[in-house]
Amino acid sequence: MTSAYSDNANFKTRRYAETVLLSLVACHECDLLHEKLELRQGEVARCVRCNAFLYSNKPNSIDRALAVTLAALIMFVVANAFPFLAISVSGNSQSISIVSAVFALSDNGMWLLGLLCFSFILFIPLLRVVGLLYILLPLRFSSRLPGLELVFRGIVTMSPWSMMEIYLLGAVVALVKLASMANIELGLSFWAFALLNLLSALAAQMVDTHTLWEFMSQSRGGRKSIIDGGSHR
Amino acid sequence: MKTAAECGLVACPACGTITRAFLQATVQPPRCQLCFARLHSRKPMSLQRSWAWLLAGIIAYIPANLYPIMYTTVFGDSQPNTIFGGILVLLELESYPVALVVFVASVVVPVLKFLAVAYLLISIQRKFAHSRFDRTRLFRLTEFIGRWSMIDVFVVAILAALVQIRSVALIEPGLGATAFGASVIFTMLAALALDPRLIWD
Repeated sequence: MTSAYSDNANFKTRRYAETVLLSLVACHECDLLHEKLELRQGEVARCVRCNAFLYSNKPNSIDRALAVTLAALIMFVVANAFPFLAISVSGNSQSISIVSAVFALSDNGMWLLGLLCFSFILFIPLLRVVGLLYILLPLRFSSRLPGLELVFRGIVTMSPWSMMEIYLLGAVVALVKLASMANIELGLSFWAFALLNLLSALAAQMVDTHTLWEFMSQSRGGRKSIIDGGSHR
Repeated sequence: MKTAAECGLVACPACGTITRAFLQATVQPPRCQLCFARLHSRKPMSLQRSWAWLLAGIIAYIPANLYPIMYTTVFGDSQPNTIFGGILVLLELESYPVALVVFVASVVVPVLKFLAVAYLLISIQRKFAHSRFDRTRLFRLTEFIGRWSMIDVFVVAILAALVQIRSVALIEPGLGATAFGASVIFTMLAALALDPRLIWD
C-alpha cells in the first residue's frame, strides 16, 4: 500500500514538473530561460539578455503563410518557364533562363560548382516551398501528414542555403557589367523571380518557427499529452 | 535569471521543447519527444568544427584570388579576370555603386568574416567575460551576411551563360570561381558550427 501511494505521489509531482517545463522557453542564442507569456496580437517576445527573437503572435498566421506560399509556388513555375535575360550585340542575340547559369558552369567542366548553384537557386528553394505547403495545407484544416516534424526540421536546416535573393542581385550586377557593351532585355521570368523573392520573404514574416511548432504539436494533441505519453515509455 | 543548462534542462535545438538533462543519459540516442531531433545542450564539438571550417575557408580564399574567376574573349582576344581585376573594370566603367557592392561582397565581407569568426572563437576559448551582448550581435551579423558573398559566383555563372556570342564575345568561368564558392561555403559552415550560447557560458 505504502509503496503504491508513494509511487502515485511521485508520478503526480513528475507530471506537475513536466507541465512547468512546457511553460518555459530557452533563448536559442544564449540559453537563458524565460517564462512563456501570452502575447497580444502583433507583439514580439525577445530575450531579455541578448535580445534574440523568441516568438510572436501574428494574426491568422497559418492562413496568411499558406496563401503567400501558394503564390510563391506559382511564381516558381512562372519564373522557370520563360526567358530570364536576353542580350543582343550587333545583330546577334542570346536569351537565357534561370537554369542556364547552372549549365554554363557544368558545361565548362565545373560540374561541382554547377551542382551547388543548382541546389542553392532552384532545388533547395523549391523543396522549401513544397515542404511548407506539405505542412501548412493540412494544418489549415487541423490535420497532419506523416513526417511533418522531419519535413519542418529539414526546411529550417536548409534555410541558409536558399540563395534566390542573392542570385537576383547577382543578375543585376551582371546586367550593369554588360549594359555599356550590349542591349539587354529583362524577360518575364526576371520579374516573376523578383516577385518570388518578395513572396518568400513575406512567407517567413507571416509565421515564426515557435508558433508553427505550437500548431504542429496541437495536431498531435498538444505538447502536454505528447510529453506525458513519452514519460510512460 | 538562469540558463537552461544551469537548471539541468535541455532545449531541443529544433523545436525548443524543454526536457530534463537526465533523460539524455537514459535514452540513447537522446531525442526530442515532440520532433524527434537529436538533443544536445550545446552543439557538439562546436569550437573544433568551427575552427576547421574557418581554416578551410581561409585556405580556399587564396586560390580564389590568385586564379581567374572568368575568362573574357572579345573578338578572339582572351583575357583572364581575377576578382580584384573585375572591381577595377567596374571602376573604369564608372559604375561606382556596383563596384562597391562587388568590393564589399567579395573582399570586405569574406575578410571581415574570417576575422569575426576567429575573434569569436578565441574569445570563447579564452573565456572573455566582457561585451557578450556585442559579441552575440557580431555573431548574428556574421551569420546573416556571409551568404551574400555567393553573389560573385552567381555573377560569373550568369555572365558565362549570357555572353555566348561566338564571333563577338565569350565568357567562360574559371577555377577561381570554384575556389571562391568553396571559401564562402566553408565560412558559412564555420558560422553554423559555432554555438552562440558558448559566448554566455
